Amino acid sequence: MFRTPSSRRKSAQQEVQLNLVPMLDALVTLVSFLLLTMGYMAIAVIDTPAPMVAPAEEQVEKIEKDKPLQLTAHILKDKIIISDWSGSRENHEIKTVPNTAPDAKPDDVRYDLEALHKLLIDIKTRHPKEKQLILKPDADIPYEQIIGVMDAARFFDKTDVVPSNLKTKDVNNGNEVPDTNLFPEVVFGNILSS
Amino acid sequence: MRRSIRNRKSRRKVKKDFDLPLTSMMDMLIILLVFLLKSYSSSAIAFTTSNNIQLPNSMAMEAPPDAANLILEPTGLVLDGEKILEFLNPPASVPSPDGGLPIIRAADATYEIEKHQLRDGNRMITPLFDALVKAREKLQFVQSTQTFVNKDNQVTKPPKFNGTLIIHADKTIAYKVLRKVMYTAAAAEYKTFKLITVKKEESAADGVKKGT
Repeated sequence: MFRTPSSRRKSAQQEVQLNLVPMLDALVTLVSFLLLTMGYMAIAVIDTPAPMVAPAEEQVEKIEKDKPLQLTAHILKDKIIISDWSGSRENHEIKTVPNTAPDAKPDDVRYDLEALHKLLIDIKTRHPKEKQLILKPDADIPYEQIIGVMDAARFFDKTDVVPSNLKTKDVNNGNEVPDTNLFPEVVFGNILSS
Repeated sequence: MRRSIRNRKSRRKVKKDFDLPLTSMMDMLIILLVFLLKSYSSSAIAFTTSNNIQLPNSMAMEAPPDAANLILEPTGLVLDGEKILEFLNPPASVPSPDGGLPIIRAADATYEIEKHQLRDGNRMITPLFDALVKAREKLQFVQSTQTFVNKDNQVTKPPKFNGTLIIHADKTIAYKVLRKVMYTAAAAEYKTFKLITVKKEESAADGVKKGT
């Protein structure tokens, strides 16, 4: 008796070779095109609502009830004055410090934004419900400085220690979640003045 | 006999073609493609920022919405790609530092506006006001010709005009210019201003390119 001939020899092991080269061509072109057209500049926006000419009636009531600080930052050429509307509850001054940025001229100064940030954290700790900061820059203050003040005022930095009265409990797991908003609503207060 | 063996050997060598393992490369490319397509769609709003202005840096995270774009060029005001006002005494163009097209440096700009184009105690820029009102009315007209349905398929009123204005301005611009622009926009019923900035971490890295 002969053994059945091995089927291995007959069935020539023909591997199906997919021709991937044209597809690869297309993919490489597509990837390079997408990479080139992708925006490299990460753009973000800062929201600032226009001040209301006259507050609505319910807001007047709210103002009378809550007595908000109406915390205002007067940005002057050589200092920033932080005060509430009357200056009786909060009244502070942020001075300028020498600018040590590499592209600055020797006698350039900048606002001490670190001190401003610390001060605002202090004020937020004393008045945890406050969310708004009214900016009143002088006419000649450069835009970049105003943005710098906004940055210092809007959020806690990642490295900041959030005060315990600004932490809320997460309903799901009971962990304390810090509120990272400092004064997120920045409004220009002197748009209407000439 | 010897010859035939040699022949056979050489024949085999010719037939065996070189196989590049392309599958892993394809895997990688497809993943890259999917990622790029995904990031492409998330920034669908096209942004045309002028080469002449340098945006300020900020730590803000919010992405820009789709709204009217106002660019404060050193030579004039541009609303949604249309120049609506020319400033007096615009600065001359200087050769670009990287050898490209000549640029106009916003740091030299004066942003002077002709007296007759201002009103309301020099607080409002008339051509900008007119253009903003026109843009708002155009949007409201387009909305009035369409029907809006909510998720239950009921016809609803068109969405309220939210009055968002995106402001692109150079970082050296003085607040008084910005204030005029914001006053004008507030008068034209634009209630929210979005100040365009460049994210700080990105700008610190070298090779920042202006996207479109």
